[in-house]
Amino acid sequence: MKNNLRVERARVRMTQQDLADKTGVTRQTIVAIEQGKFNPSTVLALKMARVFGVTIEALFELEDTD
Amino acid sequence: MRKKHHLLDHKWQKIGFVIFAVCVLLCIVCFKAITYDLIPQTQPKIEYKRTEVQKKNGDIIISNEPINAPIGSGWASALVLLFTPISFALMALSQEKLEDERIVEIRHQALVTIVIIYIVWSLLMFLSSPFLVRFVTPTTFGKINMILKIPTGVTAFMGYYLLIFKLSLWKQNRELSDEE
Repeated sequence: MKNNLRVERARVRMTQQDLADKTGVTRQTIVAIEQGKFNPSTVLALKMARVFGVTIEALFELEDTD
Repeated sequence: MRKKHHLLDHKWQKIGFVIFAVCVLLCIVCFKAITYDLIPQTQPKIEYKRTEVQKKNGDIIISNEPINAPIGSGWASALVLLFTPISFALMALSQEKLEDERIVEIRHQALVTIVIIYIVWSLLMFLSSPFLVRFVTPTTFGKINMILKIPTGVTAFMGYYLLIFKLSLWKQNRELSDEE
């Protein structure tokens, strides 16, 4: 699953720690999601989308291999 | 929506660790004290008979040897035996400082890994017994059987689970902490 988390974070000038604090996870979890090593749950994805004020589809997109 | 974890609060992990550290410290202190004769060994001993069946030159020899075995290593070992499982349980069943879904996944993976190890180990024990009986002497068989049986038990299970979980968490956190 591809994600635009890093792009969105850069857009609103937010650090990984800020995003982690706002979504109630650890910074390492944010890094893992950004690197595509961990797929977040629907709840966490929705929380992230809310933080950036975008839809889930704008943050995450399915790849052909998924 | 908040997921409910059936885990204790993080402070219990710290309490468990302190209890475990005290147990280890107590072991070291008592071992050193006994080694250097600082405290007398007043271990009560129990006498029981060990029955050994041996085959020599076609004859079966049954021997009943009396053995003086210590009941325990005194109050220190009793405390360690009691508090080690408690400390392991507290550490295994309490959540991390910030228990998020990635940590829950690592926890599940550690649990699955240890269950698989236990199943393989049990199968190995079960399958190796008839083979060993045929080719090794009863004494050697007893020793091998004892070695195979060491990692079973609830305390060992919790210990291995903790080890796998903490190592995986530490490894993953180290890999993911470089970036900012």
